[in-house]
Amino acid sequence: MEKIYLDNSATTPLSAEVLNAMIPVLTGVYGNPASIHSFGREASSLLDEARDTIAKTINAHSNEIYFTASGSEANSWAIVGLANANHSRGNHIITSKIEHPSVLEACKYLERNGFEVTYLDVDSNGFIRFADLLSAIKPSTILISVMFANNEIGTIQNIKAIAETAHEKNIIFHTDAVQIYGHMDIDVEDLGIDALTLSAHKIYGPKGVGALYVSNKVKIEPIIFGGNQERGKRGGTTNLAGVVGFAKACEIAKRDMRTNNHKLRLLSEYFISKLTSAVENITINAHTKQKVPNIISVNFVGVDGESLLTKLDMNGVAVSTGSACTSNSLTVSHVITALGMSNDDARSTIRFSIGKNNSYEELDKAIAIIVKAVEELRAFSSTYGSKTRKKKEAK
Amino acid sequence: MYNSKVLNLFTNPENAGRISKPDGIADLYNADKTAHVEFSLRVENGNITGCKFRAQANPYIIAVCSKLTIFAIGLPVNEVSVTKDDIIASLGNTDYDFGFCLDCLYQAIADYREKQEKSKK
Repeated sequence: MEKIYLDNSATTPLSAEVLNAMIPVLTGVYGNPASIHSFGREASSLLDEARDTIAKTINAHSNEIYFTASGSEANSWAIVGLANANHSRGNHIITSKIEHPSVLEACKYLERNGFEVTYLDVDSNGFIRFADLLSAIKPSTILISVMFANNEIGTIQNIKAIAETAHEKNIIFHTDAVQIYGHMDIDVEDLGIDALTLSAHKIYGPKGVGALYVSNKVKIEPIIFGGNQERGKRGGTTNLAGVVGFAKACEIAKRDMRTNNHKLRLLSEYFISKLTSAVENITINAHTKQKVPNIISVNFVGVDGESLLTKLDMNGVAVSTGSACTSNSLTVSHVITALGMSNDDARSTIRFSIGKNNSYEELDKAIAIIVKAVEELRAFSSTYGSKTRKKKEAK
Repeated sequence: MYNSKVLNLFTNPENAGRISKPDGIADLYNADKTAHVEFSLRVENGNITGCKFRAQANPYIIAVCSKLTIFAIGLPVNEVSVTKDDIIASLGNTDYDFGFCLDCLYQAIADYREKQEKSKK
């Protein structure tokens, strides 16, 4: 059975170029970058080079890049580390209801430890409302964290305006840029970003590597102790091969961004057009122009998302019902419900995320499989008829 | 994620659909409204001769519903006593709370009884 991977927002396959950059490190450079002997210095030199490469892609200084073991670690560290380091100025944090769980759970942890958190609502396309942001700011607000592009619906927030609003009130601004990196140029200076999260495996790099950019202008406390690595901010021996692969993936993402975006946009438009013609009673969630080109969130009326996902998987098509970090849980997507959808409508949502390796032929095959699976599930859906009737009556 | 018994019944669900002019029918959401099921019954001479289900639910719930119809068909309508343990023994354990499926089947039976009572009056 041919397999078609349409879950590139969960993770991407490792690029051959990245692997080739990692192999010499995996096989030949085993020194600990923290060691002062020649083996360590060789490793340390590669680490510095990787840090420099990644820093340049976002117009940051090398010493503002801290390597982590994942984007989730970087997000959690940003929230907890920035809050703790700036606690003397206040205890209030603002974030949105559609953040990645690694931000939301870190915020909940802080709430249990004396901080106050405001979770901003979003509109039906996933944008935060500036009026809400402005009214949420208090004298005690020390941190605003709003994700750059959402991992389930792809909506891109107006980051520059949010950062400006934060800075006008002397508030630190963090953004989770895991899903946007590689889709648009990010200049942390120009955008006014104080802290930014990146992940390697979303851009055809290795799993187990992330990075947190922290401006030299802001203070952050560590959350992992016990080592002097990452300039004393993040203990633990660095995953050198992973970091080298991450830097290579960043280089490639920057180099191929325009070509990839063009291809992804065409593939996504093709997919949406074909799917909406082939399957009736579906809705594209957050169908706005201000989104990353490859994330397509679709509501299939009367169909349970997990059942559809299972049928597609049994026929070789890999998709997701939400972010990979929540798709094993019994709850509905917090992102989709934040758009204003009911629980049972949210359960009818599937995320397709197209990658640079997908082809039109694959999309055609996937759509044929989707059509059959949806027909089969709707044939005995207990809600399909009544929901479509209600929609027709509403018209 | 799902065992082969669940996947087999999910892929080829027995008794999926709705009985035309049912003798008893009920539909029910689970507590957090993330799944919806419906059971319809045909009762002849006090015995369940037909039982069908429809669902907007995950594969496990679909398999549970299908299994419940299999259990119910052939039983005297007053002697249906399927439990959660019967389902777990048949389909394997799960984290999903499927109790509302049993509730829905019993509500369909109650609907049948109510109609019977009304017809007597």
